[in-house]
Amino acid sequence: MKYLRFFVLIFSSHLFCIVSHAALPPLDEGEGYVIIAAYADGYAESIVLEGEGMFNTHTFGPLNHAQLIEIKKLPAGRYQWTEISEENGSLAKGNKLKIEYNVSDDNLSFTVKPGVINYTGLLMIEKLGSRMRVRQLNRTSIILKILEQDHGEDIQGMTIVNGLYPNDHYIEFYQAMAAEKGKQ
Amino acid sequence: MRHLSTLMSVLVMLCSLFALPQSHAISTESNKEQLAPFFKSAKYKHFSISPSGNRVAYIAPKANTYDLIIYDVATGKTNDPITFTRRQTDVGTENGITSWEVHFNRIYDLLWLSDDFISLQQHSNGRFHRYVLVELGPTGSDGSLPYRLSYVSQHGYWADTLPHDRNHAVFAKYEQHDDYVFYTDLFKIDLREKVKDSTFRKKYRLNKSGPKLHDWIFDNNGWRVAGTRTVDRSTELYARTGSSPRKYRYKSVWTGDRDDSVKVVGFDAASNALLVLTNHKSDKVNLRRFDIESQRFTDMVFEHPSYDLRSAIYEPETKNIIGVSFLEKGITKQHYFSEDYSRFVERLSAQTGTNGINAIAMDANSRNILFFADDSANPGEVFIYHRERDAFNSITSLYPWLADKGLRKTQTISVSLDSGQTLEAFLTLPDVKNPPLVVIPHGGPIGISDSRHYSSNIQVLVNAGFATLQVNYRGSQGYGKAFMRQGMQQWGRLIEDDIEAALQHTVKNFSVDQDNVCIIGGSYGGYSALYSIIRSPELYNCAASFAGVTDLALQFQRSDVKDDATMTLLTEIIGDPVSQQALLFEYSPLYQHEQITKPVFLAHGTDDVIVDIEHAYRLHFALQSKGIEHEWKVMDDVGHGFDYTSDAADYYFDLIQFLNKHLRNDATNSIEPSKTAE
Repeated sequence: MKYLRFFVLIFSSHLFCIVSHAALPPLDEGEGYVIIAAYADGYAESIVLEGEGMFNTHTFGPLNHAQLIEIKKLPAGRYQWTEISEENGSLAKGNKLKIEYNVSDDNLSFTVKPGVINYTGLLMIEKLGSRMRVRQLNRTSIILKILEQDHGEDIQGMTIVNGLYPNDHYIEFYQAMAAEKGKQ
Repeated sequence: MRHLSTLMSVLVMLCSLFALPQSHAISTESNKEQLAPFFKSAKYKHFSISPSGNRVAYIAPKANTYDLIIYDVATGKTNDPITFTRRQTDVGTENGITSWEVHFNRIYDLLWLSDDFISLQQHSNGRFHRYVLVELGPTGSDGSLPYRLSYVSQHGYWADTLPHDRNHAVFAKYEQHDDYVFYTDLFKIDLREKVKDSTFRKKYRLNKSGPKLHDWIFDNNGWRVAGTRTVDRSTELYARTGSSPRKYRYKSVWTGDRDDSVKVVGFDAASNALLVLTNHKSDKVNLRRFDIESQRFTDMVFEHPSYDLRSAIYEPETKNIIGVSFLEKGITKQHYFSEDYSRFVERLSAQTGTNGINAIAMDANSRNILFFADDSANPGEVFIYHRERDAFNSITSLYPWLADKGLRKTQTISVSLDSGQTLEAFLTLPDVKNPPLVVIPHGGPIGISDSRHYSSNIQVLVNAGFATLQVNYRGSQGYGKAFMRQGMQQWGRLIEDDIEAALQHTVKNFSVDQDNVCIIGGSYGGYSALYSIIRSPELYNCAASFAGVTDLALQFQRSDVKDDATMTLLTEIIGDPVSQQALLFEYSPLYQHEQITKPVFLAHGTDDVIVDIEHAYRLHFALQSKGIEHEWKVMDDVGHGFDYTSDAADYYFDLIQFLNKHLRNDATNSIEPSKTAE
């Protein structure tokens, strides 16, 4: 797996990361910021996230041995990673093929709270031949570090919550450390 | 992105080469090469002898292939090896959809099913399971050995080789009952026929009726006698009733208590009794007789006062139990019920000067027996005993490249605790006076134990001039139920009390440098190292953690471990992440990192699925934030241990530099014992 090497590179250079640098758009009522983090060890053309309610489906990708970190504003509620797909061939040649991996049963879910930044874990997609293994990893420290580097000013003073494991107190710990360091 | 990453790595590497003096770079690589032999896996593995005793088969693993070698017992010669590639494409169809996956196989077992058939068990990180059947023909006049291959592409195991039927064997195929509950279906396989998926149709099952069980035991005629299943951590025993095969039925005869260890290992037809390895209503695992008729345990066959029994030894043809094995003072010991076999062990031990002598296979009539001789200073040699000639012949040494490394014997230490209990620890001393000491707690912490068999990580440190101390603290396996349970939820507490007691005993009674002690380990051992310098900084000069847990609560946060049984077990071992959250914080190195005042070396593999690398990153960032200096090593493509020699050598090279710096004040990159210590 090369994603951690990639993380390390991000710390030293901004050249290689697929991270949104735009200033965060203002939140509407009932919306929260969501940190979307995914890594594909292989090719994942389309990664589908479904939230509660109508028209609340979001697609990310393509990722080819690459990582995505993005802050997105989404309506509050429960979300689940449901599908990863890729397309081969072409319509013109008559051999177009769409391969869908349904990961709904893996319960790869998180919750989004309004008015705060929601950390949602790292979606790890590993391509094993024509098969796929998808896991949701708790990589809070690494993702917060990247966020601090790329959105330091945007997120300053904002509350960050853990939408994946609400009982994980690391975020409070991290922010306390950062605040203490800031005072020094 | 991979190519960019690789490019960056190459650039960084080139820069490093230019920045460093040439001699330093050469010296470092050369030193790593010196360490590599300690970590190379055995030259040969999986020795087994054919039922007739004419041939011994074993495996020679290589980087991209493995060889099956047949040793002719009469001539002492081996054939041209049969070579298999390790890279394998697994194609499967489920619900009409065909999929494929590439695997890099390993051989996990070799079994003679009869004189003509060998089974090789292949699997790859738990995701691919297959048995290769090798049918051997008679050796040609030119010494060539004809063979034919076929495959059993099923997940399961050989339940019985049917010693009286050379062309058939019983295969137990794993089936899933419902979530996380498995049982096996039994199939009688004709080894001469091609084994297809259709061979495993439900209608061909031997167990068409009756209970769904995990394990079965067979009588000498190949009929099922008894079996077990474990549900909700309680084992239920089923046994046969009826006087003839047509009337055989299987009924529940006994259920153990929660967490009892229960394994049926034999059947005594004369008394209609089962032989069972169990710790039901006893502290230690012992061998007992279970009377099927009265449905209760009767007499004790063998019990060791201090150790759990690990396995039973039986004669292949009669299936009679002839002995038991256990780990005694860190060495696997076989205890036989007859003088005959015990005599062989004593003779070979005297002949080789080796502590550990174990029979690993015997032919049907026990005329030819394979013995494995090993201990800490002898990584392993295989012998064959010929009863007719009453002589032992060496077949091969498993690690010939270690012969000149001056491997050191490990000694057992008995440590008395304030509680009145005694625990075992193992001390290995280098050929250096008053050496610095490295304490190495084992992983787990529950149900694992250290031994005095060859250990690469011990010998590599001893070779570099350090004494090593391993401690089988409370929670370790092999010393009974109570001893193991005492280690539950004792992270940073009673377990570390035991380690410190062993350390105090060692510095008081042995010639080691008590002012230069470091604690290191992997997994739980890494945790223990980190927490030890927090709770007792006065005892240690430094700590090194590989794949160590730093945040106890984080162990519960994994998407691939959501079943209740695993979470319950984790809670029992670590503590309740909800009701005992404060305790988990109190005993997490991460949340106590401000108390770290001694040098720390943190290393972690990026592919670790047991203890995620997030553990190391959390502590690394915390130490960084506080300005606490530490050494930091991310190991790309490394898991919870080392699969490759080069990775192990790489880690241990850095570790030895770290130890030299903090135990000998030596900042060079030497891996040799310090002359000043002599």
